[in-house]
Amino acid sequence: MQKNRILKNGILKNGILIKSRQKKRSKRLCVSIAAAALLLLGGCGGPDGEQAGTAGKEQEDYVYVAEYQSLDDICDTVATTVLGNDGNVYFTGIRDKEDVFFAMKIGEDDAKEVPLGLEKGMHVSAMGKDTEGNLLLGLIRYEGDPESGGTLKNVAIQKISPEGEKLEFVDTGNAFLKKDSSSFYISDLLQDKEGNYYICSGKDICVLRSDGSIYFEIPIGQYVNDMFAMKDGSVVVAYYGNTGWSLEVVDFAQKSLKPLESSIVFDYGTYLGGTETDLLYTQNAILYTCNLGDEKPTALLNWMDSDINSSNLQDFTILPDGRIAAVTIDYSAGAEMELSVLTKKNRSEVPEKQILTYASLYVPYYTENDIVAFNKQSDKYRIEVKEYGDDTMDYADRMSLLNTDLTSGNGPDIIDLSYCPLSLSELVDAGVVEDLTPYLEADDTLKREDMVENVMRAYEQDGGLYGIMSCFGIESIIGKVSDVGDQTTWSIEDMMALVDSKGKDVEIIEYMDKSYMLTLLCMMNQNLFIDKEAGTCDFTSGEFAKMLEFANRFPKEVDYNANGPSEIEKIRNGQLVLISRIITSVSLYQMYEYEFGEPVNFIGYPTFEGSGLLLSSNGTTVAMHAGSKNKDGVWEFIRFNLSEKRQENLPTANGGFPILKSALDKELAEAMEDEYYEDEDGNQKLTSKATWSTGDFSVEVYAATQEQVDRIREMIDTAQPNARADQKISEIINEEAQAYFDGQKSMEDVAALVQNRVQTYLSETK
Amino acid sequence: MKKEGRGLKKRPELSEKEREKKSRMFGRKKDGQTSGDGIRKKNAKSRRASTAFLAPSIFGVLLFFVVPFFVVIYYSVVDNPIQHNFVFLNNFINVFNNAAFRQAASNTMKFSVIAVPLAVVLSLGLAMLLDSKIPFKSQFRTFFLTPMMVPIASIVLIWQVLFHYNGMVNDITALFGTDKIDWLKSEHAQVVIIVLFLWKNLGYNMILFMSALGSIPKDILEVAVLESAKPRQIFFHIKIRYLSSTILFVTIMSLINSFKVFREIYLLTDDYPYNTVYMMQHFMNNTFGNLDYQKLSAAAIMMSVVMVIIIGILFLTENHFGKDVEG
Repeated sequence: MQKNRILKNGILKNGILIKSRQKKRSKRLCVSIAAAALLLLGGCGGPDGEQAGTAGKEQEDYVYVAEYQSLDDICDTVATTVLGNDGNVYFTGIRDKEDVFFAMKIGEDDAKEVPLGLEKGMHVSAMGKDTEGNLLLGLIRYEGDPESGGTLKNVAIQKISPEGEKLEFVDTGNAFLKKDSSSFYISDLLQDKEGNYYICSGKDICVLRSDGSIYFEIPIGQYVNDMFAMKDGSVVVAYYGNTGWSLEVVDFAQKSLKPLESSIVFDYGTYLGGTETDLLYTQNAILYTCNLGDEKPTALLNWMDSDINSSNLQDFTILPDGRIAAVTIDYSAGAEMELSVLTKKNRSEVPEKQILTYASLYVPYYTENDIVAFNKQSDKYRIEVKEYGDDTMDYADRMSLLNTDLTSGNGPDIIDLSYCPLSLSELVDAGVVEDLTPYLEADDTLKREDMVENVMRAYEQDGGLYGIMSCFGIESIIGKVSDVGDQTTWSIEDMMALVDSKGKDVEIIEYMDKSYMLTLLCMMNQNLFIDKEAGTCDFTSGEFAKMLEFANRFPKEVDYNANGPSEIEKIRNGQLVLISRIITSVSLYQMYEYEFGEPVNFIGYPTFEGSGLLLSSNGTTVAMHAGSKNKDGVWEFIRFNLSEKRQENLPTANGGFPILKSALDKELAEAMEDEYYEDEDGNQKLTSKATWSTGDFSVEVYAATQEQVDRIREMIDTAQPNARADQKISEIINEEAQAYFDGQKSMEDVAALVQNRVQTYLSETK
Repeated sequence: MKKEGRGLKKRPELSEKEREKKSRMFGRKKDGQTSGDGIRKKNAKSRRASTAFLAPSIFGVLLFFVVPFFVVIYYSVVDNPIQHNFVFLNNFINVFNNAAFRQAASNTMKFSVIAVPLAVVLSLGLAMLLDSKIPFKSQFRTFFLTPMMVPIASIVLIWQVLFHYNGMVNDITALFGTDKIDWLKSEHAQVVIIVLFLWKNLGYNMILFMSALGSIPKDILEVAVLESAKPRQIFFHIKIRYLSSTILFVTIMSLINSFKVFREIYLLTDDYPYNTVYMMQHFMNNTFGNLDYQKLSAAAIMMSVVMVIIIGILFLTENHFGKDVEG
């Protein structure tokens, strides 16, 4: 036994026992390491991971499903709306030329109507609430054409019960008549517990006593986005001030505003007072609720998930039963006012749709509009937006995220071309985007010949069509005919001659510096220097030197002088010769004509050959991802944006010319038609079609002439696509040109350097 | 009758006693039953434990090296990452015919051919110098090691201050009446980069050589001196032979570092520099940014093949020159 024991212990020589011990140690070690590794791995996910998962699961479990009801079906024109906390929606509108108050139980189709019996010429400018659930109507009366100003004659407040019973009428007398009589309006109105009225008229807050006399006024200096009462009754104003977004409370003691104290960082959005909490607000399409003492707000929903464009929100509230009601105006559907009621439902109860992913670094409001409208009408597809990164991220990181997705098998279905960091040629060369030609050819209703051909060519490459812009603008230099002549194009020499003819203190193009001018010239004329097909370039020719010399005549840096003379003053005083603008409508074209005060020419940028006008995408512009599993769905979205109804409403929704010829023709024809209004005596009187205001300058635009429309057509037909500009080449040129602008290198040296570096770039991309 | 071939030995017959002893040694039981199952079990357990320990490493290597390597090969023979159409060698032909690739390959090769031998020879010279009896050895060693401790951003900043068009070097040369030179955007750019490379790498190489020099057996050197060998003969016939493996290592490291000089060039001159300093990694980095993965993959494979050939040649050279050295 002893021997065995010794052997078993194996003191040094008998390896059996030692091995056995080693194995046990190894096992223990192995288990310990595995346990530690598991703990570490577990730690990586940690409570946060679990939380995120739960939150994600919770998010996936339910969805707010919206039911929509058009308020325009109830009356001819809806003027103002208020969502009551009692589950009713109150609104005023016009029926049979009479102002009517409507009260409607949310969820029901019929509204109770009470004629307001307003004095002749009086109309409802705004609607608000007091603290007891009664409604306030802000009434104003003008004499003359209200569209073109007229004269303000009266401002009053009418208090009515939810049933429409008139409770109180407060005439403000002369309180507001001293204001600019042609532009006064009420944007927000409310009454506090003490009976004081608050009237917001754009940039000013006026507090009135209960008898209508002025208590005090607070000039804000900026447009007030929202004015509302919080749960405790204090009145808060939300606006974008000089230091960023501000929420300030009305301070009665100081008769001024003081900042709202909260650890929550508020940003641009739509703000209201809550019923259960202090605030209810929408920021970046998410509805939040919070108390001022909270560390962070509670996110309730994303409006996009319920097919509501948060940019269209007019009012919203949480109903007593937990549903959420919202009133929106959809400009892409002819300024339709809609009531949406959102009910929380399990995801399993909601019919499933095929998901299309929309990829972009930034989603503008008009794209949000198009996506929401598409989602609402499609039973088969639903677009979900994937925004790559946020403002806190480096641009390169955001680009890298997008690039990774574009080239992976799980890439997005739709690629936003307006905000894509890669050029069309890069996308096409990488095989990321699908040629849309077969889809267009196979389409029953959409035909290429129905589109504006010049605009369709903007996203063509090697005979393939890789993107379509739904609407567009024309970028041009504008100048007086007496300065630039009446020809449709001009050369750099022409522009240099103009510069030479003016004094040194004359600004040639407002806010145009050397770099920007050089970039524009290179973009317009890069075909002269670059042959992308062959992968060669020649910057050593005289034309590039001319461009450098010309750009050098502009200032190196331009400071914006907020207190200086306005643009129109400078133009009319001869201090400013040219402006560079994007024309997106006939009325804008007319406005610029008026601005110069004499015949003008939209001549474009100077070029060595061809037109100097640039096509600029002004609406949702997308490409189809070549790896998309739902290509038919993507085409559905494209053709939806090109449909007649969408295209005809683009001027109000996006502010650009439609690509659909019939819609463009209609828009141009309508621009030439006079508009009339009916005066107090029932007579038809000519009225302006639009009013443009900047600073002190205001111009009313009437029907366009055939000549104006013809010139716009000509501009559309000759403009060049902007998409051809190569960002990298522009960067290299600008970087090297700085040495010439600083007087350190000769034009020849700069041209040789540009030639060297751009040639490497072109060789690489070939 | 058994044949005994040359070199084959007849297996000796074992006596009963020896068989018993052997069976005890190898676990065979006295009653004739073998304990082979037990050993096999233990061996299997041992293998499982080893596998468990190795698994994370193997998994990591597979995931981060082997799989990506095959993915790169795959990308190099398809038209793009979305369509996946097989194009065989088209990408390689396109890359080979690409002027920018040729420029990058030529620049990289030229840079390596000049910079690597310089890095090896100069660092060996410095090591020899510091190995001899000179004053301030320690201070010199620290001086040459300092660039290793400076962050890359600071190095780039220093070099920009020195070699910018309005930099210090031009200020100094202006004192002698010479015209300004755009060091980083002219034919001189590669010289600047070679100087930067040497400045950054000499210290590390020098330490490696000093360590190798210290490990050369002293008795051999003493014998050589007693045999009246000249210093040149001692250097070429003894020291170089003992240093051969270190020279190989330093050469390979310098070669790899010469490919990595892109980082400094990129920070100094951006993604499209003057054409003489446009390197292979510029080509790859830019094609990656342009989503041209097939071009990138083909270029990477071509570059790795060249690297394998060069390193193979270096190994053969080392084997040839260092074969008769002990250790």
